[in-house]
This record gives sequence, structure tokens and C-alpha cells, in this order.
Amino acid sequence: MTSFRSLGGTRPPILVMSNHIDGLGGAERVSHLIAAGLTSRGYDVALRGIRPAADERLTLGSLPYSTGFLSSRPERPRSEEPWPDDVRASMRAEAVKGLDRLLEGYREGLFICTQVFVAEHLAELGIERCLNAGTRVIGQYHSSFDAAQLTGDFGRISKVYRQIDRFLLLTEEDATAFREKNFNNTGHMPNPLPFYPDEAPTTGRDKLVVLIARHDENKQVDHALRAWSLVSSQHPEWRLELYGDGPEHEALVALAAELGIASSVRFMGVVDNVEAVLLRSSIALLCSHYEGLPMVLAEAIACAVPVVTYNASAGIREIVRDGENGIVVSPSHIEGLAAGMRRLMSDEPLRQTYADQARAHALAFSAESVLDRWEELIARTML
Amino acid sequence: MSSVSPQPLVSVVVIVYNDARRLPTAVRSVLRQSLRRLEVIIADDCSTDDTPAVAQSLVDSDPRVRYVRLPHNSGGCGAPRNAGIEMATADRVMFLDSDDRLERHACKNLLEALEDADADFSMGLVRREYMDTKRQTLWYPAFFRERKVIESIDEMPELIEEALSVNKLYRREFLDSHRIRFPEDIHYEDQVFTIQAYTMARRIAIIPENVYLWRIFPTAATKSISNQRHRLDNFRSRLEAHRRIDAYLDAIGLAHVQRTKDRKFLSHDMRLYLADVVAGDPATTREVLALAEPYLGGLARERFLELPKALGAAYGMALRGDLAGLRQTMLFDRFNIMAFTLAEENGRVSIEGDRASAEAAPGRDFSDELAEELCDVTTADWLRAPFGTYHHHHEVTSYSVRRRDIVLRGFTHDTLGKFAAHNDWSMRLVARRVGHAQAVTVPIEIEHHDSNRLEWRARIASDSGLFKFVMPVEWSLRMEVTLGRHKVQTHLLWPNSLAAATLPIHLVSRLVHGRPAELGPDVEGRARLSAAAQGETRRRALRALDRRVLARIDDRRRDKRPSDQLDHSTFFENLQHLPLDPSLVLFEANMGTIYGDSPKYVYERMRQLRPDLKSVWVLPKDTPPPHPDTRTVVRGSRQYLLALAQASYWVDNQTLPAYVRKRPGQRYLQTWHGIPLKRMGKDVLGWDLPERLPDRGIGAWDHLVVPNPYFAETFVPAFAYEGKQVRWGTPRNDVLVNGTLTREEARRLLDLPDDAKIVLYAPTFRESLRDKRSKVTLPFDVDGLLEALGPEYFLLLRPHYLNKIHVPGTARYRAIDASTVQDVNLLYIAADVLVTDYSSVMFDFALLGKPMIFHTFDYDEYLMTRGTYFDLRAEAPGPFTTTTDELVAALRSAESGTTEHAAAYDRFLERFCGMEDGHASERAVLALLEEMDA
Repeated sequence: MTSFRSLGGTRPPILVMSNHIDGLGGAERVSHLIAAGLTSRGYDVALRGIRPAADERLTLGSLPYSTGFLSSRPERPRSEEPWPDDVRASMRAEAVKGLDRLLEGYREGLFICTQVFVAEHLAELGIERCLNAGTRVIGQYHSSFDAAQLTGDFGRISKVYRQIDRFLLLTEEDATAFREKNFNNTGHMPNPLPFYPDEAPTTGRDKLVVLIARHDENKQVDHALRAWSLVSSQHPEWRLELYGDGPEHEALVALAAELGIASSVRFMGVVDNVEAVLLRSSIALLCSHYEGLPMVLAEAIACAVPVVTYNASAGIREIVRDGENGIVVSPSHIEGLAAGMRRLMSDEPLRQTYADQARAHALAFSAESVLDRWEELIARTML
Repeated sequence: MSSVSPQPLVSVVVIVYNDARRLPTAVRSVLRQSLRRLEVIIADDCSTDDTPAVAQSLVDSDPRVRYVRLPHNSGGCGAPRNAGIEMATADRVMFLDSDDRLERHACKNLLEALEDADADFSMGLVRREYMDTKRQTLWYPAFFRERKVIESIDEMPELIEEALSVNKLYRREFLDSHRIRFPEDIHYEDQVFTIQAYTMARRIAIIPENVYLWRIFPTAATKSISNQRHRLDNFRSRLEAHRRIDAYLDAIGLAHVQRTKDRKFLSHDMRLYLADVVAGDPATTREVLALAEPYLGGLARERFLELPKALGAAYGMALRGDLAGLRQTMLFDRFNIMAFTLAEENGRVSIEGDRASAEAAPGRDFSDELAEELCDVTTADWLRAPFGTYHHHHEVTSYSVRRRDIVLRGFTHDTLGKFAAHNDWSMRLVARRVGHAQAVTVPIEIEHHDSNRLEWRARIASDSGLFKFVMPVEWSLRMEVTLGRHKVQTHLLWPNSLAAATLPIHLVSRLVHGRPAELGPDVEGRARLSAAAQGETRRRALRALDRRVLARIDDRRRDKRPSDQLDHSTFFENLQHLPLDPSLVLFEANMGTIYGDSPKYVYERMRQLRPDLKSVWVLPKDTPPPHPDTRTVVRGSRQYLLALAQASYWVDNQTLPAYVRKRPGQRYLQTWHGIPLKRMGKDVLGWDLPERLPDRGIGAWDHLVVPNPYFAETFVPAFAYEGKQVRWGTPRNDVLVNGTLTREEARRLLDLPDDAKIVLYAPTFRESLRDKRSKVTLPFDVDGLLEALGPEYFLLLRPHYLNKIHVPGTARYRAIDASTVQDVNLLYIAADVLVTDYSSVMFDFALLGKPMIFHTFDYDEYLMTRGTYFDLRAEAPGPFTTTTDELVAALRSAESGTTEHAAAYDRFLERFCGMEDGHASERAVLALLEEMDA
């Protein structure tokens, strides 16, 4: 690819905005990674949330980029009744006004909406007006095309993301799907990995299969347990560790007991240090009903852990290459999941080959390469 | 905008001539590009309107706009574009016409493609928008399906067919170094310019994004004399452009590009003018042919012979100077109307034409022999076209006024002799109100019938409903032919030689005293009838509407749907106070869209067992009842609600509307419409069953047809059904096992040859295509498949009833859309083999023991979105294929009867298919009635 930086693109001031920037969710984490990364590359970055989050909050201490909110009135906690309509409307109006003021400083700058909801605030000011004033706008969508169709996001995206300078999806397949729906501004950009260990030894690992996922309906952790029950007796020296918590937790503990696999399965609770867990593991498992670009799998391959997963999204296919760095089986095919694990558990040389290839493939998701891509994209956008 | 304007990256040349009104829109579409670093050059071909002033205000509004005005009007697009190129300061240039627009991201997308590929030019998709109808079409979409880079035109010579200059971004240096500019003295300058660009480029980048909006404004009707003159000048220019291209290609010695270009001339450029013969002035066509004669004589014979057979034959007629034959063949080429007569001699079939009308043209040695060869259509697949895949030719020959009625006489041409070969056909005239769904049918009388020609007479009575309008109305007249299970409507043609008629209105209607009715052709030569009343006469006419008409309007109102859901509920509740009719049975299938599936067979059996009962069928508007003694109602209408409220028995295969409540004394038989593969009800993730209430939804079902134990284990618990089960078997499948419908009869009803190999393709409903306007594209290459299988193969296409399927025109005579055939059993019995993906059709088809193939390109994704009760791939009652080649191979081995899957097939039949003994309909009837009698 030719670099457009040579065509004289400038280094614009950048405003990154998400619904929340002080919560504990994945979206917040990614926004901070981007803001920090672009700051380290010499851009003047400001990170803004629409308003403070409601429940648990991060303290936005001494960060190398500025942070703040469009409106200082925090979200209503989930446990309480939602605000009445008129209060919500006035809060929204306040946020929109805040955005208007903020954009004054980005007339020749770049505005990155990491979520559709942010662009919907911009739409109230007039996207056309903002673009004509000289601000470049990039909008992101962090789910798949299929998810957009099923959830109704597609209609929202159609309203706010067609005119803007670039509409970014996580994978090329999703970008193509939107392009086929007459979006002419699509591109794709993976989220950056929060870590890429300097070293990830492929020998001497624990005989450990690990599944890091919330215990909810979508993640189908019960499939992992059922698949495990088909393989554990032949491989008594192997263990399955489940990291995460959620509404299905009690039922899963009961199921493990019922399947007679309680002795080889451990429920580890919510994980603090993903990297450390992965560096001990030999196989990473995922059996979700639905996914976007699951970062936990990118993290697994960065730590040289081969993956066994359902073929549940374009993002999964982008991270896990079947027969190269993992095994991808048909959705809800529990026997397939078991067969995949069996294959890897019984063949150490194969695990090592996959592990090496995993590590190499993960480079594409490392913060450095993703930031390179961002810089190129910014240069093109500013032309 | 920033104060310093950096060097622009792209120059967009906007040409304009006397178009001050639309120029600002075009220019603004450039100024609003997501690429900001560009300039606009307005190149004015010496306009005499406000263009200079408008252009100046655009220049003042944005520093990126510049203006150049030619000293003299050049009358074309070439000179202003060239002037624009000279003015351009960017390294890359593109063009825009003042009445069109650039898509917002066009410049950015083309620029990135150009630079990323280091190409000489990049090109993107054009969207054409018809400004009157707002209809949009894509220009050569096949070339733009995906992003690609070609190193030379040799890789894709067909690209030269796309000869627009406007959807491309050129490197200035490329144009200069090869001295590529627009010719300034002719029209069709694009064609000459682009052929040079295509042949000189050492790399071309193609992008799938839409870049250009070609706005097509309505023009005056094409019939005026000045228009015909204009058309001829136009054709002369086109010929001249082609002569120059030929000279150029000859000079650089690119023979294969020349071939592609000649092919394009015949299949596109010249064809446009040949098509004028259908409705235009024959004298103009004669002049076109005279002009074309020398040019056509210079083309290689092979170019003609490789055309599609119908168009090839049209050239045969053109070379002969046979205008009547040309019209017949162009009707087929353009409108799929078979209007010609076939002659058979020594095993060769040829199109006859009308030699008497032929005018000998000069240079006949070449053309006579070639013409003969072109008219030989022995190998055309449409010689065996089943009825329903093409149109008959229906044409008016005369009209008269008898008393107050219009009498139309005309003929129907039956090229393939379908009427002689079948005895169950009928014809009637249908007047469809233009722009409305309204239709009035008129019976016809056959006055004469010989082998291929049928003469008829239709009497459009003054009280037939065509004239009962006080608003201006226009009717398009069509002939509707029903034969076997197919029905085809075709526009009635009005020949150029027959004058249009003005009918004194008092002669045709005593109700409307206004403008006279007009009967004649539209611009395409199709018969139209219009009537209108205006002003004072309209008011008088309104007063004059007699009681009979008012009564009829009232009738129509009564069948109108109540306006909203609330209205339905209240209305239905009120109707429930009426007494039940102990002998009334209501039947509905596929939510009132068809007469078919199990309810049909329950109905037919019930008529035999209990002739004393009365039936009402829920069917679309204007559908004739299955038997004369059966009433029909439209789903959602008041009559429908009344029937539901009063019937003692309901038979249905899906769901009744949400507002329907069952009351004591009513019995509901649910036949359901298929054995499930996909997870249903509460087995679907994120689905909760609604609360069970005995008067609605599933709670209202008294009897459920349960085909087999597998259904009892999956469907019944998935919907928590607790009522009685009618075990086992499926009413609609009785006919599959008791042999009452033979294969021969099924094929006769579908007009398919006895010796043909018939592949039934029946895919399942596509979730993401819930949008009914978009058609499902076949997941295999249908042309390639038919080609590989050979001429004895036909495809019957049966999409899910909520989807529509797109068949490419090239395959239309052998890939038959069977979606309108109501009774799917007919298709099962006629077919030799089934191809499906996940459709529950497989459970019924397997009862016939014929081979099944599973073409499942998206097994994983499908599982993910829906989930299945068992792994179809593991059961494999037939081979799984994903590519066209695999499908062809599987069909071939299905034909040879390999037994590879025999054991799995038997297992599948045993475990998943209905336990059919041929008496399921009877059991269903008895279950429903006994309950009541007890």
C-alpha cells in the first residue's frame, strides 16, 4: 500500500469520543488504548465521554491526554428507574450543546466516534454542517454486520454513517457486507491488543484448557462443559479452567457436577491478569453463540495459545485460521468442539506448530501495527 | 476551509451548456466530496442562458472553483472537456456533466485506488437514476463486483463495453504522454476516448463503490418527426465513432479488442436502433438499415454467429431487409414475446419472417447466405421452452363500436403450438389500470383457430367497469393465458399501421359525459385505453351515477379491511355475539395466500365424507374458489372476520391473526406445514413462549397433525402443545404415496417434456432477506450448471414463499420459476431429483425415494443464526455440495443411480419423515368432526 503521508497530510488535533470513558467495559478500554497510542505517536488527543458512567467508575487520573465529558450529569445507575423522558431529553440537549462548543476547536481536526450513539449526538447538530465546516469524521462500529441486522443497529448506522469520511468495521468481511448495502466509505480496523508479550515460550506449559468468558446465555459455557465431558476421561492429566462470572454461574457449577467432571474443571472467578493465565495455558476455548472480533482470542494467539472455537463471526475467522493456529468448528457442534480439543491435546508437536503460527499471526493485532494503520488512515482522511 | 489552499490532488471538469438550473447541484456534489483537496473547473460550451452568471457565483463561493468559457459553441462534449483538461492544475483529472452528480466519496475512493495500485486510471460504479420514476439501475455492475487491478486490457477485454468517460479518474501524465483527448467534431466522443485509455493503460484499478450518479431526465415521446430525424443523426454519429475506433485499433493492431468491440456494436449500439422497429416508424428503420449496411458488411461473419440466437436472427432479418421479420425477432429479443413462425426442413429449424416484405439490399452475396444461417435456430434452447417462460404474441387487428360497446379484434400467435398440444387452456382480456392494482377482465370469443394462429374478438361493454370513473383513467390492455398450472399476462400490441381511435364517449358510456375515450398505442406500441371527464361535466357525471353503480361501490366498501388492529379486535368481539353456524368450515393455508398444503387435502376429503358441510377458503383477492359451491374471503377483511366468528371448524397450517379468539363450540385443527430441521419455539435462543390461553394462539389448537414420532419429540414440546394429536402422517402427503397423480400428468400440467431430466431446487427461507423487494440470487452459476448438464435438463425453482428468486435472462427457458404453482406436490412428482439446503421440503420429497442433494454454501452461518435439531451433515441422506462443479457432479451421479447414500437415505426416511399410509387426510377430517358430534 502506498503511504498517503507523503501526499502532505497534516497531523490534525484528534477528538476521540465514546459513550463512556470511565466505566469498566471493553469499549472504554479500547478508547483509552487508541487515545494513548495516538498520543504516543505525537498527536494532540482529547478523549471525551458523553457523560460520567453510573455504577463502578475508573478514576481518570494523570493521563497523557485530556479527558472530560460533554455533560457532567452522570448516567442513572442501572438499579434505579430510568430518568423520565423530559429529563432525558434535557440531558441530551445539554450534551449536544457541549459537543457543539467542543467541535469549535476541531475545524481542521479529526473527530473519531467510537460508537453510533456518539454520531447520533453529532447528527442533532447536523453531520453535513460539521463536515462542511472542515471537521473530518470517522465512525466505528464494534459488532458484526449480522449483529447490526439482528439488533436494528443497521437502521441507526444508515442514518449517521453514510456521509462521514470513513466508516470503520472490525473486519474486512463486515466492511464488504456494509459496502454491498451501498455504503461507499467503509474500511476496517481491528482493535489493538493491550499486550503483546516479549516472549511466549511454547514448551513446558500446563496441560490446561482455558475459557475466559462471562457466564451468560450468549457465551454458551455449558457447551464447553459438555464437550469437556466427552474428552476428559481419556486425558485425565488435563484440566479445564473457566474464568468469568455471570447469571448462568450456579447452573454451570451444577452441570459440571451432573456431568461428573467436577474434579477436572475449575471455576476461577473473574480474571485480573489475562496475560499471566494465557501464558500458562495450552489451549484456549470459545463457544459463543455470537461474537464480533473477540479480543480474548487475539490475546490468546498473542500468548502463543492455539484456539478451539465455533465459527461464530467474521472476526473469529480473521483471528483464528483453521488448521494454522487453531481449529474452527460448526456452531453448536459440541462433538466438533470435543474433537478439536482431543486433536490438540493428544499431539504436542501440532500444538507447538500452531502456537508459533499463532504468535506470528497476532502481530497484525499488536498495538504497534494497529497504530501504524491508524496513522495511515488519518493521513488519508485529512486530504 | 483553511486559508492556504494546498495543491489540489484532483481536478474535476464539469461541462455545461445552457444548464444554469442544474449546474449548482453538480458543482456542489464536488465541493462536498470527502476529499477536500480538489478543484472544480466549470467548462462552459458558450452557453446563452444564465450559465456564466451562475458559474461566477459558484467561483465566488469557493476558492476551489474555476471557470472557462469556450469562444464558440462546439455542440458536443469533447471540446469543453479538452478545455477543462488544459486548465487543470492537479495531477489527476475526472469529468462530470452538469446534469449529473458525483457520489460523496467518489474522488477519495478513486484516488486511493489509483495510488494504491499505481494505476493509470481508476474506475467505479455508475448508478443511473430515472428522475421521473425514481427507479435506479446500475451500469455494468458485473465489472464492479469487487476491488481489483488489471495489468492490461488483455485480462478483461469485455471492459471496453463500459465506455463512459465520467466514472474514471485519470492520471494527467498518462493522458498527456499518449496524447489522449476527446474528439471534438462528433458525438459519442466518450467511446473513442475510453477505448484509447483502455488500450494504452498499463494498469487499471477497479473499485466496487458507486462513484457517479447519472440522472436521466424524461424526454418527449419518441414518435415525433424531429425526434425520428434526431435519431438518425444520432445513429450516423455513432457509426462514425465506431469507424474511428476501428481505424485506431487497426493502427495499434489489437485484434482481440476489436472482436470485443464489434460484439458490443452488435449487441448494444446497433441493437438499440433495431429495437425501434417494434413501435417506431418503419421508414426510419429502413434508413437505419441502409446506413448500417456497409458497416455491417465489414464485420466478420463470426461476430453475427456468436450472438444469442434471437438477436442473431434479427440481424438475419435486417440483412434480408425483412422489416416484418425484424419486428418479430426484436419482439422476442426485447420483450420475450415469441412472434415469429418456425419452419422445419431436413431436421433444421429456422425462423421464417416475411420474405414478401423483404427489400433486396446491395451486397447480397454476403448477406443472403449469412442471413440464412442466422435464421437457423435449430440449437436454440427456447424451441423446447415450457409455457410460462415466454410470452405469446397478441396483437390488435381492428376495432369497432357496436351499440355502446367497443369490439376489439386481434390475433394470438402460438409459435410453439402449445394450444394444439394441450386442451386445458383458456384466454381472457385483462384491463389493468395504469399505476394501480385495479383490474377488469373481459371474456373473449375465439373466431378462428388454425395450427399457430388464433383469431379472437373481445367486447368491452360500456358497463364493464372501465368507464365508471370520474377521474381520468388509463387502462393497459393485456391478454391472460392460462395453460396447465401456469398463467401468463402479456401486453396486447397495437401495430404501427393501425390508427389510434377516438371514441365518442356517449357511445361507450352513459355515465360519463366528458372527454372522448382514446384507444391506441403507448410509446412502446402497447394497447392503452383512456377515459376521463373534467370540470362541469365531471360534476354532472357524479350526479348521474345511478343507483346500480352506487350499490356496487357499496359492495366494494364492505369488503374493505378495517383500518387498524384495534378496529379488528373490537369488530371481531362484536361478531362473536352472532350464532355459530354448525355446518361452516373455514380453511386457510400459508396465511391466506394459497389454496394448497394440508388444508387443501383435508378440504377435499371433507367434501367427500361430509357433503352437507359448507366451506369457506381464505384466499387472495380475485382468486376463483376451488369449487363453485365454496365461498372465498380475503384475510383481514370484514368478511373474513365474519366467517371466522361463525364457522364451527377452523383448519389452518400456520397461524391465525393475533386478534382472533376462539369461543366455546369452535374446533381448530392445526395441520402445520412442515417437519422441522431448524429449532423452533422455545428451542430458539432468546425466544420465550407467550402465555398459554385457551382461546388464542397455540392454546386454541384442539388437534395437531403429528406426522411422526420425531415431530412429537421436537415440535410438540418446543411449543408446549398439550392438545390432541392426529397421529401419524400428513394430509398433503397422501397423494405422494397413493399414486393418484402420475409423473406424466404432473409434467403435462407444468408443460415439461416427458423425456427431460428435471431438477427441483427448493431452498429454505433466507432470514436476512426478509426484505421482499430484494430477490434471492441463486447460490450457483445457473448458466454454467445447465451448460454442463446438457440440453435435456430443466431446473424448477421453488423458493420459500416469502422469498423471490432471481433467474438470469440467459437461463430463463430452462430454469423455471415455479413459485406460483400452488400445489408443491406437483413439483415433487414431476422432478427427478431434489436440490435443497435446509428446507423441510426434504422430509416430504424423501417419501418418493428420489435422490436428494444438499447445496449448503453457508451451513455454519445458518446453524449459528437458527440452530437445528440434528446435524444434517452427519445424517447425509444425499451428497453435500458447495460449488457449482460439485453440484453438477452430484447431479450426474444421482442420474446414474449410485447407491453411496442409500443406507443413510433409508435411515433418514425411517427416522425423520412422516409415517405416511395415504389416509392422513381422512384421519384429520374424522378427528375434527367426531370431536364435535360427540
